[in-house]
Amino acid sequence: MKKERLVLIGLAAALLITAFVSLTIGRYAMSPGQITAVVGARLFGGEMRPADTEADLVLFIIRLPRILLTIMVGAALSASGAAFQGLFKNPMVSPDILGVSSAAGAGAAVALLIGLSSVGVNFAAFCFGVLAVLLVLTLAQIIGRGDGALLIMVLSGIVVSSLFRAFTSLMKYLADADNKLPEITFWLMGSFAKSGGARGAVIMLSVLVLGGTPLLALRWRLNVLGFGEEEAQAMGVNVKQLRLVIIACATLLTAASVCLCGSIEWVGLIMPHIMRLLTGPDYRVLLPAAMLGGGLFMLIVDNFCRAVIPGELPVGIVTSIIGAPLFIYMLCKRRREWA
Amino acid sequence: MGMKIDIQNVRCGYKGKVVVDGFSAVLSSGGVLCLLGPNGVGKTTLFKCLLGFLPLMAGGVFVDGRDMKQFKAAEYAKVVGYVPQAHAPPFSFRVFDVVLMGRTAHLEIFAQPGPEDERIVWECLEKLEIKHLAAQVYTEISGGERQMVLIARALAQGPAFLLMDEPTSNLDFGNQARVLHTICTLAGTGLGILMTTHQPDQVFQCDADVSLLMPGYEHLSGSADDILTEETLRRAYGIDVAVLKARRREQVLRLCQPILPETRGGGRKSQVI
Repeated sequence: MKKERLVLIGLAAALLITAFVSLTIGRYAMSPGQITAVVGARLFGGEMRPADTEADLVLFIIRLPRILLTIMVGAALSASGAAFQGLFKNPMVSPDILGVSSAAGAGAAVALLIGLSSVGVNFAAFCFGVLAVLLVLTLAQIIGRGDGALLIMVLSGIVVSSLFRAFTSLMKYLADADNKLPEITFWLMGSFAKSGGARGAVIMLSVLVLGGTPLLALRWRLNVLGFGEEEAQAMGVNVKQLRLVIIACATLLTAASVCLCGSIEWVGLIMPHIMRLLTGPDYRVLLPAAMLGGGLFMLIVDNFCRAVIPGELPVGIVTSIIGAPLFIYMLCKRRREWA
Repeated sequence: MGMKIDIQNVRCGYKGKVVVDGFSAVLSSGGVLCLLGPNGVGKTTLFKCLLGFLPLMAGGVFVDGRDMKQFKAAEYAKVVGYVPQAHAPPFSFRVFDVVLMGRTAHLEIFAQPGPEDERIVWECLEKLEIKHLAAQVYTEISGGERQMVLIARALAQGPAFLLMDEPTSNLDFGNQARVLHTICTLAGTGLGILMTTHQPDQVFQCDADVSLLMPGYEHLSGSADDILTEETLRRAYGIDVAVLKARRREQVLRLCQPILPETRGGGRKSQVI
């Protein structure tokens, strides 16, 4: 247990330090000293120089909300991935297994096409994401009973995903190629640039509390689910009920992330994986570790996106470029785990 | 002490297909009951019903007089422990944690296992003499060891009964005997054990009661000596079987030996030229 605790403490410390460093990154140059001064002034009152007032604005209106949002989205995606992996007894599963991301993308595309406000786009994306999962669950309920239920659920997820992706393509096809199409395309790439600042951070925080807390509280039972429906039931778990709660929480986390930031792939698949290598499969440690690690990873990637080119790179592109080779590497390293 | 599971006239199967019908048996504390029968006769189906994985189509199962349908999953798990066949789950948990999962039924829904649960796990590991495996990874130990770990996990539930699904399948000769010995020892401590098996010999070895399931919804229940005769085994499995009695020092051993039909070209021994 000692090593596991060290991993958690290490991750938390790394996250805090990275978060502080992230405050200094960006086009408006700020030294750590200035940041300390501004934060000190906010916390303990006191005079601010004119230059500091400007820094205060950048820090608290722009950077801090974005950094917090980034961390929370990383944590949410990673937690939901970890939860789905346990639920489906398969370490290859990602948060969009039930079609949340594709459907949220379709929702956003529709909203952008008919010219809704950014709040409207977020809302449409969220609703479509949840709708997709309800659709998958209904299909699974109708088609599969008993043993095959999970497999049917996965297959329904693939079908529903594909359907919504086709719908997204249709929206793109119908969109005006001069302004609407680029808008939709950029949205789908995933970025924290238009996530709504403090409002986005507050929404994400409430979602993280709402969806993350039950998952954390149920993390022991996620272990038991890994042994399959029958064994879990024989060990005293109400499998159907537990499954629904986990799907609801993980869906909420993913849908909120995607609706605020577009689809960001690989994080929810890879971070639980890497953490499993560090902590072992026990969700008592794995789930908190995956959340911390997911937040840390997302933050580092977003910093890179902000710093590397003036206009900033869509974060979804970078996670995919990092994620794919990382995943191959891990496949080679831990083949036996999936044998 | 002195509990029993009363299986009364159950019918089970899948959507529209009845596999087992009119089955009755009683499992008591301290007793071993073996479910014996050819492939496809419904042992597994019956087993799933007894664990509540499949609903009964008719009849009832009463645990100490109370209908199993009235039990919640956690309640049932505290009385009946399930030992599946040794398997490999997708995640590489440590042996200690696997056994610790047996404590789930005793935990509040949002709770994590505590020191008392860990103490019980150590006790169970000790009882089965597998303490040395505690820190090892479950997916990396041998089949025989895994079976022991799964028994320990079921014991950690603190049940009065164990339901074991072919506990000796896929094990080597020595491990089969070890697991069987463990089963007899556990029955000696007052646990009631129901196990499915493919080997009639094991019924004699455990001095167990037996339910022999036969094709055509027929079944015979009773003591090994009464039920396992050459006649009944032939009817159940459709082959010629010799039930032998052998003496070794003061022990009387009973064993079942299938008699293979003569093959063309003479005896079974290869000829030496």
